[in-house]
Amino acid sequence: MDTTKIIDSLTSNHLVSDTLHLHQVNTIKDSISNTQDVFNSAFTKDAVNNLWPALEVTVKGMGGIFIFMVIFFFIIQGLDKLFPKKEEN
Amino acid sequence: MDGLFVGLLQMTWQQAVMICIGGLLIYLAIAKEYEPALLLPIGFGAILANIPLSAAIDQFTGGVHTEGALTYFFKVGILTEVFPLLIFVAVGAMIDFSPLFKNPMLLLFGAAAQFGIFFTMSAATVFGFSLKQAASIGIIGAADGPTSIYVASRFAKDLLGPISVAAYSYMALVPIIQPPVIRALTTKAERRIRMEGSAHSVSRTTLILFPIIVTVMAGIIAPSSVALIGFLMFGNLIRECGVLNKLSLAAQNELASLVTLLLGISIAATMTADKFLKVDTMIIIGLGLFAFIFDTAGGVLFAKFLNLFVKKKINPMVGAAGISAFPMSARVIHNMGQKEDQFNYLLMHAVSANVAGQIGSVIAGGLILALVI
Repeated sequence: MDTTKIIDSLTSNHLVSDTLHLHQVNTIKDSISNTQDVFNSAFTKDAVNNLWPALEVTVKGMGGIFIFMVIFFFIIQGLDKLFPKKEEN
Repeated sequence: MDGLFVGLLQMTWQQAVMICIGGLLIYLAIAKEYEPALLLPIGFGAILANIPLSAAIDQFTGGVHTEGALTYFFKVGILTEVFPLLIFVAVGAMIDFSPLFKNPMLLLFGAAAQFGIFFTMSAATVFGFSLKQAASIGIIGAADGPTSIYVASRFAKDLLGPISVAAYSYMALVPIIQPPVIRALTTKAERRIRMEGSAHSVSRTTLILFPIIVTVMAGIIAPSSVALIGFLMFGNLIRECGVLNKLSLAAQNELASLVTLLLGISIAATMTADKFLKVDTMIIIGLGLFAFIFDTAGGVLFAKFLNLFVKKKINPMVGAAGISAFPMSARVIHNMGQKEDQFNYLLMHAVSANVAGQIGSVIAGGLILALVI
């Protein structure tokens, strides 16, 4: 049986009427609905559709990091040639 | 008399579980010394946030809104991104780039070992998370707490609690996570490869100009990364300029300690039972481990790939140090190298890759902010 419906019926029957209790009931309802959301949406068509933009970000992201690192490599090489460390003695 | 027990009467089992989780985090921080500077405040904050009717967090009682200190810290410190950015200043002041300058080729490992971030992000979407939530989960693989918190505070505020706990817990568990992955992907002969040291030294001008040029270049290419990289490099400039020693020491010690304390306890404001005790949390913690494993694999496999082309072979274990967990990962690699061959000194190379990983993780964070819309 749907737990959310049980809680809804409890609430509507004023078995739990205090506002603090209501807050807790809402908390439990949120928790249950979130749990159901995860179970409902995992491996669904929507989730798999979301995979394509994620793969696109993966390719661009990894490419971007390597490009940054290559640029930093040349910055280091350039700086090292322009400003070599002078011998202490 | 009822008034005295109002807290007890309002206690839910979820809150009791969260108080136990807080206790567990405190235990891990003290007894196991797992990232104590962060896990202890997070653990204690979790207890504060889950005591029934706690005045430490915002409450809605009888239609009246009462502000709590932890929620306030969270709003002013994390939602505004101030705390993570201040931590970046402190981290920047702690980083010494000179080992990296001796062998800049190792910068590439700082890129390869971010693979786990993106791989995990893709995996998280299949579990039903939105792209922004998935990106925030993937960034656990940055092995860099402030970057994880920074990205999650932009993209998935509700997931900040589990993401922070996972990020800091796995950083502490690097000595346990990395060795089996490295052993599985390398042969004994590869682990025994010796690498030559470099006596090359770097001028002060180079060390001063590097953070400035990197900030400008990174800012021009990916403006959304400016805050992340800029604050890190600002901290490093304070360190290298040579005229702000007091500020540099203050950033490395007092600033780092104070902001870490506030950061940890503020994150706990999100660790209320309703937000933390969810299946999502378990999945996030599982995916976080996945991210660390694939980061390590990415670094090792990239080193093996490079070895196909270079004359001077690279010990593939050094690739695994390309994650940002500094200096723990470098130490793990050095110790593994010494176990295989007691005269193999990989520490300097592993430290270089580890420093590259610190840059790489921040760049990854900036790119994710730029690419995920």
